[in-house]
Amino acid sequence: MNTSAPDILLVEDSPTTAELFVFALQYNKSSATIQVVRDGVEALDILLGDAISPESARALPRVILLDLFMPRVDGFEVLQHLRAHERTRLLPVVVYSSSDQESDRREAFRLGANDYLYKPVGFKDCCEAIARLERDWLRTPQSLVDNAPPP
Amino acid sequence: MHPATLLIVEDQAVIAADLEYRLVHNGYKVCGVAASGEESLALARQHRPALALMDIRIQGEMDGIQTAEALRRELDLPVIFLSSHSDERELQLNIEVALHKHESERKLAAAHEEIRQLNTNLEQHVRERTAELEAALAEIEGIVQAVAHHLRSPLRAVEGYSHLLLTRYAAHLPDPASRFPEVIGGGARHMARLVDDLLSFLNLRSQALCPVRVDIAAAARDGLGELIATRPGCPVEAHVEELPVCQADPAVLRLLLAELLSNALKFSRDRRPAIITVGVQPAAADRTDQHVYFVRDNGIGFDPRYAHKLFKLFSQLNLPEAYEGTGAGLAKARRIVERMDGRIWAAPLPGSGATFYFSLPVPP
Repeated sequence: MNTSAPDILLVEDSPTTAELFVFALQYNKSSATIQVVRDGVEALDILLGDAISPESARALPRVILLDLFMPRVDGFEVLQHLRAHERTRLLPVVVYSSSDQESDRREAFRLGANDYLYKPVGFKDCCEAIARLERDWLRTPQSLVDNAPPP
Repeated sequence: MHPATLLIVEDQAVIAADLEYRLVHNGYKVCGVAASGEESLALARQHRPALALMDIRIQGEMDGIQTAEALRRELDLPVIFLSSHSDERELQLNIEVALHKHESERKLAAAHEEIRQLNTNLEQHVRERTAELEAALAEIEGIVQAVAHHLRSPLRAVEGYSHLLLTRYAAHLPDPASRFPEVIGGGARHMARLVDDLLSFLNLRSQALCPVRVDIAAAARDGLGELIATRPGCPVEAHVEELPVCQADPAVLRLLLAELLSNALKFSRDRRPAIITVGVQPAAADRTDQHVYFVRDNGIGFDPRYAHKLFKLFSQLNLPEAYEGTGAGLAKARRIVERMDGRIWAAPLPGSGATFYFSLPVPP
């Protein structure tokens, strides 16, 4: 198992929102590891940029949290690229956006997002949303194995 | 004033000459004497007189009536028929009246044409101006929407960091300051609700409507059911009368009923029980194209002096701390009703409580 990849890759351009996300994980007493990138360009670089050889290829995060409205390359474009490449075609991507517009939701699913989470304003609501996210996307057979009682 | 030119149509030469003499003597010009209908047409075309004086019994294929018709149709020439005993003064009077009447009719026709032209131009200008205003309005709403949307991120920061301050460092803050983070957070959360309400209010305008026949009584019962379920422990007596069907977009109608019902419930929550009625007004004789429905409650009512403020966006008649909400619910209800070409208004009840009336179209 390659342990260098984080559980969550958060693609978020607002530094305060990103910091509050990390605080929320602490508040939830979560053991998930997290990496933050500031925009679509960095995200694509990390996920697709240096897949030159299988050995140097970085392991993928277990779930991507993707903001939609970012400078340079936006969330929709990132999603398109991720779904176009074999390497990331099946990678779980959850759009995490402050837009509650139905049109944005529909477009995200059309481009291949696995889920769409509305990013609340209140801190406690954010903690709840993030706890649900962990439950849905980070509970895997691996963690069940880790928690299994010793023989 | 220059003298009018007249045409005489008379086949009896002596009478014609006498008439000509008398007319010239009275200051008119005579362009000629025609003895037949055909000849009168020829002379009229050539000289363009202002009036023709005609003996009704003239020789030729065309009789007097036919000739007069032809002269009027082709040359817009008025005709006076002569009797053999035309008194001098009477004749002059008749001539002047006929000329004057003809001139008035011509001016009236010209004025009508000008009005018609101006109306067409005006309608065109109104169409253009309306299109410009709608474009400007759409642009402004787009800007407001963008600004509101962008407020969410900084609001999240204010709310989040004040919460962290509260939960981690409240003990380190000196006494009056220890409640400040909660106040800051509360302000941010309130702003977030205003932003949400503003955005959903703007959305109401741009949403496409698909009106169909809707059983509004069933929709009202569903709405009441959902609302009551969210407020356990609040005794509510709900009455939905028999309501005629209306023509409306079902989703938008659900929103309208939700706003009016939650408004009714909110302001009657201290009543034991809260009584909410959804009914219909008897049809007015002159308005058979709409139904007027109402939502009535037995709550705190309102001061009719401030009725005009009820439906304004973010306007509240109560003290803001006393009741939750931002004052957007009734503004949204109004926007919905007006988009469906209806009207909404309210009246307080003498005891206490209020009735909110709204009109919706009858299905075709």
